[in-house]
Amino acid sequence: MSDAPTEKALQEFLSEAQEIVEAFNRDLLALDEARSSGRDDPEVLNGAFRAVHSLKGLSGLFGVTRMTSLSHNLENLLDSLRLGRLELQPETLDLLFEAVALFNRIIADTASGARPGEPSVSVDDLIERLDRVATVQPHESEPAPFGGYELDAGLLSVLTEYEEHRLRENIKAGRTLYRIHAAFDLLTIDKGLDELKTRLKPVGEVITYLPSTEAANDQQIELDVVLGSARPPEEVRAAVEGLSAEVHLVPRRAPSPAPPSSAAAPARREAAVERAPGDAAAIAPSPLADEGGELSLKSVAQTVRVDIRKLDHLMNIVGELAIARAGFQTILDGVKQDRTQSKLARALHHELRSFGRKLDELQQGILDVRMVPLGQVFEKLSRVVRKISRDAGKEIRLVIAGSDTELDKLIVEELSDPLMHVIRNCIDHGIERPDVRRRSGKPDAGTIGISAEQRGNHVVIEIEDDGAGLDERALVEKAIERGVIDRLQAGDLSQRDIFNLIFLPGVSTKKVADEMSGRGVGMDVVKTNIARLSGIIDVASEPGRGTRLTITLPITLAIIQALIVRAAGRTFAIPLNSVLESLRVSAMDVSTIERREVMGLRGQTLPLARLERVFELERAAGERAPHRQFVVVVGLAQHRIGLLVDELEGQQDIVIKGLGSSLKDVPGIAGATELGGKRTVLVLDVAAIVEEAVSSQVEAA
Amino acid sequence: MKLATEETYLRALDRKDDRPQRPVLTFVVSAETYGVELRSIREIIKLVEITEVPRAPRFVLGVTSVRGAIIPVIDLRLRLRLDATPPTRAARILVVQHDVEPYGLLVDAVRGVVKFTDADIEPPPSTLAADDTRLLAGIGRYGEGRRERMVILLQLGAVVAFEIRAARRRRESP
Repeated sequence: MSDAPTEKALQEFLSEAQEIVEAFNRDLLALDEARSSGRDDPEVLNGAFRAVHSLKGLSGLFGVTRMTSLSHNLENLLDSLRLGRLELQPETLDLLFEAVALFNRIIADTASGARPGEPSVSVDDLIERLDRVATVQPHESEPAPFGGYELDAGLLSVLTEYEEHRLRENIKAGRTLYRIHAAFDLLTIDKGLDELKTRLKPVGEVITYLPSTEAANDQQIELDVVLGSARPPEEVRAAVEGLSAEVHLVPRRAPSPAPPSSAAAPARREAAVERAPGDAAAIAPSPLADEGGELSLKSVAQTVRVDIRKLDHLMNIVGELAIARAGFQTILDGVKQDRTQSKLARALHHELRSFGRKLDELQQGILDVRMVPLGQVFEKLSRVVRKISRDAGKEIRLVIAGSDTELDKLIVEELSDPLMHVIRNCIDHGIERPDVRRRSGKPDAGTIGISAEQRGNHVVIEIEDDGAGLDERALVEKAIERGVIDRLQAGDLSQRDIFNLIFLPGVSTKKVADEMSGRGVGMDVVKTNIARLSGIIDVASEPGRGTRLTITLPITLAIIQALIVRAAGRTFAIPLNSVLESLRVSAMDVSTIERREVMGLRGQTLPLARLERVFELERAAGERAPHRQFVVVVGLAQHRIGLLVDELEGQQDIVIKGLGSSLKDVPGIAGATELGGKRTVLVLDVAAIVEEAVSSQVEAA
Repeated sequence: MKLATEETYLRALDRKDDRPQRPVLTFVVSAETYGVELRSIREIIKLVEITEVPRAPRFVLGVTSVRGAIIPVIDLRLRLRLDATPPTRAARILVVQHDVEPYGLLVDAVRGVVKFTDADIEPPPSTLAADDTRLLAGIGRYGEGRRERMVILLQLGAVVAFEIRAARRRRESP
């Protein structure tokens, strides 16, 4: 067992493999898009090839043999695609996406402790199908002649098979071939070449670059770059302006017999073989080997993977420092009282201020590290959309905006399931079948828009479809049938109330339950998951036009802003992200409806809950609730209630800590936090409290 | 007659050391002496301000913060259904660790450390109520003759494990 990877190494392997699989998936999506729009993007295909290549090496290192053999087969297939031996078919793409799913399962398997050698997920079936695609469908196209270009025989003889394929493709696509002769300083060739490639990328494709046959001096290396471009010479020249590079058109003859490619082929093969690592000095490195190597090195050097618990730990320390700062402040206040110490007080005040600023920066820095772009989730979604829409026989156009909006890593992780459910619902229940859409004058393809946007300390995610919209009557009927409301109550519901019925367990508009949408249980699970993240979900719909779900989430859960309140002599913290407003009320503002306390707020009836009753807090002997109290209006998902408290103490940044496993299930308490002065204060679980208040209302009604 | 060789002597000595000596911290709860194994004690602190936690069992005094961690504090007197008098200046909170999680146990006073071997420990008397025996690991005896003392050893895992009342959804209106 001595060669078994350590736990830590295995963790690192898993996260690295995960990253590569995600990158692979991104490339496949791009490939799919390029294919359907008829574009040709060799870089994406190369990226996918590199990804499986790295995966093969990595998994081989860790003895995850299933992953190794699957990557090996994928590598072969992708290589054939890259070299143009195979044409990319939708079915092939499907297989590739299947491989992504399989990779993820293997990773999950390995992570859950199944030993690498004990497969529970079989890859054999997919490997067999990959092989069939790779062999059954040979792409026997006549090698396209070099279109009359006078290419140097020396050049042709050193092209790799891939480069030759790209050369033919460029010629086939009617692009012009340029030869760019560039001189580089011996010491800075890496940089210079990178610069040149970067400049050329927008105007065309660098097919190959080779050491120039022209004489070079000792200090310089001269290269010939072959570029395929649809742009006129002026533009290519403009692109390399300022570099010591000359742009020439590759001379073209009148149509004539193609150079004997059959004779060149064996030589090429040899050349390709010779280009093993370490031999680079003899022959210019192939672009693939070059870029692949560089990229992976860079990614190792510039990013560090961190266990989120370590960040939590750092965050706790910052929280303790903040408490220490409050302690210093108290000392300062004491020193200030003493007039003889004013000089010391000033100095202390000054130091304390800069300490405070640095502490804030530190806190912000740690929070920033936890932030990841929502694009990570959106990518997963687009994969699912592809599959579900195909299964459902519907055409879906997915429009994503705001992928770079950042959220706390933990929230992003927890978000993918609820969003998946929402999207499934959109496809299964929202978007109509193509024939139905045509009849109502809509395009065949339904559109689902996902957008994310930061607004202050929140991120708002909207999921919109242009489907049939929610059927109000069906929703109400279903809710009555499920016993969630009775007919009498149904009459009182506003349109918004009716739409929000979809978040109740068991209410779904579609009669037929199917496998994908999970029998309509999706939306209440979505609501619960979002609420767990201190998020709010709302729905709006227009019959025939579509449905829009709006999810509002706090940016982070690690440090939150809280409203500090007092009730019956105790102090509590209420997460500010669920507080809508707070107002001062007197006993006269409160009225009762069916023995429930309520108050009017801008024409609406707001149910009230006294915190002291919610928690059955006993007041000190003889103490009574003050005549003037405060109402903190809190909202969770579609519900709003007013919490009656005695006093508001103000707002403060707090670090929520758990109460430990024995107390974590206390309903209504999310955790505790330390305020200055060694005070430990409970943090309210607004979701649970609102839930309780609402369900007791339904019972009382 | 056989003389004891050095070998048998050493073997006997070994055997004596073989018997695991388990240091136990002893303390007073409502005039009785209790003990928990020393290795589960993280620290002993004086009474601190405790924040009451609504809806928790009555014997949970609340939570407090010890070195940055929030820990629940259990009143051992109430937990063991003994009489609770207001804590004196001798009262302490034992910060114990069970399953990597810290808990606080309020006791009336701390006595000291006694070492027991397994042979010194008897099972808890069956005369106790079933719920009580669950909380006890056994009775430890030390000292000899008239100075013999008894320590009731606690089953820490059971002491710190308890059920939380389910969400009080069906609360009657006041």
